[in-house]
Amino acid sequence: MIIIHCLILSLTAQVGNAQGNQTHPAAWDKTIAQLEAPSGAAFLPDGRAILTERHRHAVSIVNANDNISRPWIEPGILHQPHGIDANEVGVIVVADSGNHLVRFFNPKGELVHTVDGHELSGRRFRTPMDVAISNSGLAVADTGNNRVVVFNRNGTFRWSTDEIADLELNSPEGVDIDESGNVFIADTGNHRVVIIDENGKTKRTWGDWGRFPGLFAEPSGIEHRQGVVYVADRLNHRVQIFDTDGELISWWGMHAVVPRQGEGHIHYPSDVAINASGDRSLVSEPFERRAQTFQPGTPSRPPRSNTRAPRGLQSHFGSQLESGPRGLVTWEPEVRSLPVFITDREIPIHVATFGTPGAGPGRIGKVADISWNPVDDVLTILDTQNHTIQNWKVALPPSEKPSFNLDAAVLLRSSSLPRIEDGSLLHPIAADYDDEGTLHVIDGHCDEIYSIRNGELIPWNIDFDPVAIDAGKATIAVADGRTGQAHLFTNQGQLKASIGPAPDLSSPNPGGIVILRDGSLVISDSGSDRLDHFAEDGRHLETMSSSGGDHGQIWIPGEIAEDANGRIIVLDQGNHRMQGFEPNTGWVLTFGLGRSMTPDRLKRSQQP
Amino acid sequence: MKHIVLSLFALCCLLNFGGCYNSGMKTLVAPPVARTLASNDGQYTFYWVPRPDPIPLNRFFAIDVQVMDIAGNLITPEQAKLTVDAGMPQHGHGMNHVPRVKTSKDGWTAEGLLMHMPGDWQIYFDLEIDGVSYRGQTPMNID
Repeated sequence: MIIIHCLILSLTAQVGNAQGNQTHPAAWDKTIAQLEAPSGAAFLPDGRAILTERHRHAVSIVNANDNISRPWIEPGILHQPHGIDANEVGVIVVADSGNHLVRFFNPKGELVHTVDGHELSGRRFRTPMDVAISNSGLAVADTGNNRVVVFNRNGTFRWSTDEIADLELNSPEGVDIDESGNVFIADTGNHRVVIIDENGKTKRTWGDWGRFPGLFAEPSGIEHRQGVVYVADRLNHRVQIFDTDGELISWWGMHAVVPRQGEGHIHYPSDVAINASGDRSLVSEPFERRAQTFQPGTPSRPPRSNTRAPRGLQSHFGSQLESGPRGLVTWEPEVRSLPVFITDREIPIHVATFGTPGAGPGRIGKVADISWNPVDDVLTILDTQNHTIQNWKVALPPSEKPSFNLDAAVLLRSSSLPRIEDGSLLHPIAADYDDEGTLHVIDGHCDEIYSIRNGELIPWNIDFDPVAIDAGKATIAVADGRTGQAHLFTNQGQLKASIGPAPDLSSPNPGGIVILRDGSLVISDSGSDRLDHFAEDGRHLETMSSSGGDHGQIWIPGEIAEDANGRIIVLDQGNHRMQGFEPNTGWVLTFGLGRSMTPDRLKRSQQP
Repeated sequence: MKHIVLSLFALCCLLNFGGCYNSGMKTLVAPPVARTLASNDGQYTFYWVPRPDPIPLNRFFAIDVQVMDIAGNLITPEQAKLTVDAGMPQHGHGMNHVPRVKTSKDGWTAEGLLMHMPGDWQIYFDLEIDGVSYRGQTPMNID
């Protein structure tokens, strides 16, 4: 009996080991640092890793000795590239998201072909986020059109998911295609995986929003290798492994406790690639500006890093921030809720959190931006996952008696996002109300600005790449994603002036923009971690921050706003906190959902 | 004595809501007495009666609902869609059962509501008219 028991235990242990990642590349191998927002990941036929760098608008090859080379692809061709793949003869395909194109390069890095989707599939691509190539053809995750399109090897259109009955994708960001023509989709906005056979019929779908293994939170990258499906589960900070029936095999990755922590910790993975033999994986982490490789073995508990952010300030803020006369609202993507602060005190106080994840009235999907209407004091939330525009009323407590109230925000109205000229839904990435109560919205898929007046969408017909917007008194400032300039417009959309970029800014990636009450302007740059202050006449006054995790340093800054006390509040997304700055003074405040810090208190805390 | 007190209470309640009732409202969920709440933007009034009343802990219940606009016109299921939900904001969760909403000529009945734990709940009424959803909500303590 004991022998049988031992035998069972032994067999169980063997099975456990087999499913415990021994056969999957889940054990941390090494970190490839000094990348700029690495998004797409793939392996070349010779085993070298290849990545797209979104903020550098480039493709990088990582040699066996970990040297990063960017030897090819002429500057200026790509703009915010995302997904990448290579076939067995070394043809490289890139999802050139910012240009809404798919590019083909030969192994020498020479551009050989460009596809916009229109001729082949009847519709132009909109922000394609991933591509996959195999001997069976090419698959494109046409994210902005909520579809995946598949082409034959000779480039002829085969099928598109929007032709499949009962299948509605929502912003799919990841795709793979195997040698038989089966297509694997990370259906990001629906938090699921979809497999479609070579004839365009749905074979299997699985997954839903959630934390438990087997569930997803914005799956963004997918790879199929030897009957195993690997999924980069972005907001769960892990890679999950399934068989092709959707049965969970295992997962790896441990959420970083503090920013910059690596060595097996995974923080907002964007993509996962597996080499041809299936024994090496590559995970890209644009948030940490790095990629990590893994080899077969059991994931070990990584050591704590020496690089630590200040204690007690960690929250998972997105990049959105909005300031009203007394209040400040941001958003936490991982819990789909919006924290509210009052800012008319020295230290902002967290007074409310509202929002419940899901679809349906009052539920929050993915917040693209938040804007406070100065005319009626109503807060507008633009949700690109549920495709809604929601109006909320937020009751703030008096400054002298702040209190936390979970019922402080009530939903007034909710409706579908309006449709643009071609019938597709508006896809906001940033928005702001002007002082007359008109909402101006940047559409990220069309690179256009629309004003919403009396329910009607009025396009501005611009010829640049708008990425951030702020409306001051009779002036609207828009940051240009390609040049880093700020274009100043009237409320009717007439160009008044253009200023910037900062003289020493080489590769601009604006994250936010704000017009201060004195008419000067501040732009945050997500790629180089800086805040640049410009006078109203366009002179560059100062750079107010540097890159890092200390007080006054920022990492991937998002939106910025001026608070009730005239401080410049920046969403320091990479450090999971917000910080306040003042012109000519610099850093004056750090705060989040936990503790706060000011220069005075920091000085006292450093005294022996 | 008990009957007299109950009758007086019902009369007081009717008088209290009397401003909202007119002859055309005989079909509303009153009698005996509907509870009322205004939508958060004040455009609509929800009349609702839970069954059973008071709402029980951890037992299924239903809510009959009728809606009027600000001008006093009855909103019918032909004109609008109604969703009823509930949640506990302090706990960050909703009900663990999805309710069904049935329609009749003049109103709606939400069935399968379940408040599975004691504490402070919020009941949400979402009325969708011409693509715009309007919310009314009311707190409800369950013990």
